[in-house]
Amino acid sequence: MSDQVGQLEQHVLLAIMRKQPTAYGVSIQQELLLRTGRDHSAGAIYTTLERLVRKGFLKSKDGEPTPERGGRKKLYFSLTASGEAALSNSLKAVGSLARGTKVAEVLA
Amino acid sequence: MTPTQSYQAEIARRSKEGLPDDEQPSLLSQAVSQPPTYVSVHHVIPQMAQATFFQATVREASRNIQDGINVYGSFLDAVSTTSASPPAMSEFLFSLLGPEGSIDSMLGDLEERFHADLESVSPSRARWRYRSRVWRSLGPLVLRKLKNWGFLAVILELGRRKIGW
Repeated sequence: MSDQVGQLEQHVLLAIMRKQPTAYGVSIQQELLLRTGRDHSAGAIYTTLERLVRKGFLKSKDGEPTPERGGRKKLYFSLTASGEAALSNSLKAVGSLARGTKVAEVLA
Repeated sequence: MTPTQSYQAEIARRSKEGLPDDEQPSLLSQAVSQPPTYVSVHHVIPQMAQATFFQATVREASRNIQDGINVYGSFLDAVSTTSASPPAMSEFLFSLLGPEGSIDSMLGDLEERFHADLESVSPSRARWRYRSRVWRSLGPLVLRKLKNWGFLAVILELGRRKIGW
């Protein structure tokens, strides 16, 4: 299994990092909309989450069922150590590529 | 016209014509001296029966109207309950294609957003948004399913990257 992360995976990992320990589908979606301006569908988010769990970058645990969710449980996600490492590597790679270019200051 | 009524009519007529007052007692005595007339029981019973029937009809109609209002109220309750719940078909479609381990939480997320929408928009609008979210999710979910099918998945993945889905 590849330890590389794609752009959406990177965004999802960062959103989860920001919302931990209460990162779940809706909060991740809203964080992505707020920070990136992109409204990803639930299908895209959950497909990415499932892939990241399979890669071992994320772990999930069941949350509490609530009436407004029709009695369904939330699924909370958090980064594993390998997920944090993969995210750091991915961001370093982006930073390294941007260094010395006109967009370097954006990442600073 | 009863004797009393004819007497009163006569008095009124004569008063208008300005007849002397002394004639009035004679008219009165004439009215009193006449034997009282009795209303026939045979005549009253049908009238009473008719009135009772009319009352019963009115009561029945009123009960029917009340029943109608109750039924309409129940119908409105049922409609409002239905419209305040997510569209079942979209929910079913989503549950068919969602990742096995997280279908429940995905549906929970959709329902949570649906209920959040209900606070700001009409139920029909919230249902429309729910359907739209499900339809937007179908692409990635269908693709995920097809990925397990080998060569076809490779072609689809290339296509997906090409269009940036």
